[in-house]
Amino acid sequence: MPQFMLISQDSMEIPEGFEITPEIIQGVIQKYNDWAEGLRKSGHLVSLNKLRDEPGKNITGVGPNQVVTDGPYAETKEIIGGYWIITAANYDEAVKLASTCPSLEFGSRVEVREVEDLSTFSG
Amino acid sequence: MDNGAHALVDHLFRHQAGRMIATLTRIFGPRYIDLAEEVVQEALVKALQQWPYRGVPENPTAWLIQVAKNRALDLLRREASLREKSEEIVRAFAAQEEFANRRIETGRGGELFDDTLGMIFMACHPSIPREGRVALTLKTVGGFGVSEIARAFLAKEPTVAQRLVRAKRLIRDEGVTFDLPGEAEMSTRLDSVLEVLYLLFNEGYTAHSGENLVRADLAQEAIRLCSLLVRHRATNRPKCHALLALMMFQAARLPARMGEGGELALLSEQDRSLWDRRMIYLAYKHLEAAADGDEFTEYHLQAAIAACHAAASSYELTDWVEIVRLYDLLIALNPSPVVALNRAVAVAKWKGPEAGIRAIEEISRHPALQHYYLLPATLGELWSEVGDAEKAADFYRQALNHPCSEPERRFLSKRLEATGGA
Repeated sequence: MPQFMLISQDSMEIPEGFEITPEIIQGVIQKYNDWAEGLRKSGHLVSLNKLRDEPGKNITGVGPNQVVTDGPYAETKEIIGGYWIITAANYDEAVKLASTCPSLEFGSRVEVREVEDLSTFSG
Repeated sequence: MDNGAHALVDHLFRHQAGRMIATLTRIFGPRYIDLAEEVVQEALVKALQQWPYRGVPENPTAWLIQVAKNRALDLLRREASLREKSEEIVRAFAAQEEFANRRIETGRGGELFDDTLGMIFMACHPSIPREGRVALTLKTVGGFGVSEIARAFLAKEPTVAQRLVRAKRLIRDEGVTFDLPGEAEMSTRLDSVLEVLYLLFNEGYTAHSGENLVRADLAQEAIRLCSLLVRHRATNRPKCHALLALMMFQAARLPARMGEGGELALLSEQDRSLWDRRMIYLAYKHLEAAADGDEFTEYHLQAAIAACHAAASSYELTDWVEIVRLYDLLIALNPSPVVALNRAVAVAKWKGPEAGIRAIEEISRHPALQHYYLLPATLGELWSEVGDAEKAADFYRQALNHPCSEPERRFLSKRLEATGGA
């Protein structure tokens, strides 16, 4: 079964004057928890991971031209918050499963990418 | 990498925030309450950033405590004036973590709630104005946000924020301490706490509506905090039991208080099978404990009245004679026109609507009742019982001209319609 990576591109910005109360925080977490639990129960969830927000580094160039910068904040207001790896028959199913990701409710962009299965080439 | 799914306990964050703020305020000292709140908020936000992706940890409470501890230690390293407290913070959080691991131990383990109680007494200090006490208690002990408090009390957010700032300034300026009050002071300090809890409860109870769930939360929070008081040996006083009994008797009726269409169901119309029997049982237990000693307060009488209602199998079979007797005692303690109005309703049930109307006429000119919709609303009820539809309609119309909540407004309109006077 093909695997797909769902990448959540989160906005770093919280609207002006918006108060994040403990109850709101819990509500958001609960949503993700329920969503992932649904994927787990249906057998689609392979793994999930958080990427650290900081410090993050960007590397460009080689040799003397190589530059290492702090990032990814410099270039974009979006940051990859984390990812889920799921199994799905094809892109249609993967997109369908991703379409209920809570990140979408909070204004994030969810990228769906199929993981190349390299095992068939190695043998 | 597969984290076992872990459902979050209701209000975990809110309650945990309250506990952690209390512990940190004790350690940092009351003047650093803002820092305590900041540290706790950072811990919660960290959970918000991580848990959606990595899953909820096995023991969410211990996780939050661990992160708050690390944040607090970071802060102590920066703040020279607080630096010597780092050992204390490690110890206090170790104790909290152990507590979290053991899960909530009720019953005798009352002393574990020391920090929360200290915080309640600090937030409800008599030198703080009442609105400030209420807001500060909800914010720091209850873990409510400014926006939630504003919504619950129909106040603007900046107003609530202002009250909080002023309350914290008073704590600093008046040198309010975190400790539980000593024996000599305890009774008066408790009165100040009970007043806040009673207000919280009433706000949550009387305005209870489906549109506004935060308000049911207020009633629950008042019960939770009052339960902490009776569990601790220093505050386990009869009057605390009396207030808790009162709140529980009333809260037991909440499930029956809303009709199917979200409209208010009066005590006379409620489906009593929906009442929470377990809650009523607990209320009786606390009423019993309230009688143990020589304290006799308004809470005692109000709880006794609520108990009469809980004991009745129907509205008609309620012991109205006893209720009128209790209201007479209550008026002797507190000659409030609102209490007198409630007494008049009981008189009407006992001796008939005309007697009720006469009792209301005696108090109807009281200035405190001039903008109180329940006065004309009650007269409307009684006149329609007498059979005078015209007078009833007139009073319902008057009632609708006064401020009241949406469900109450819908209720009054329905009554007005029933008189044929809409």
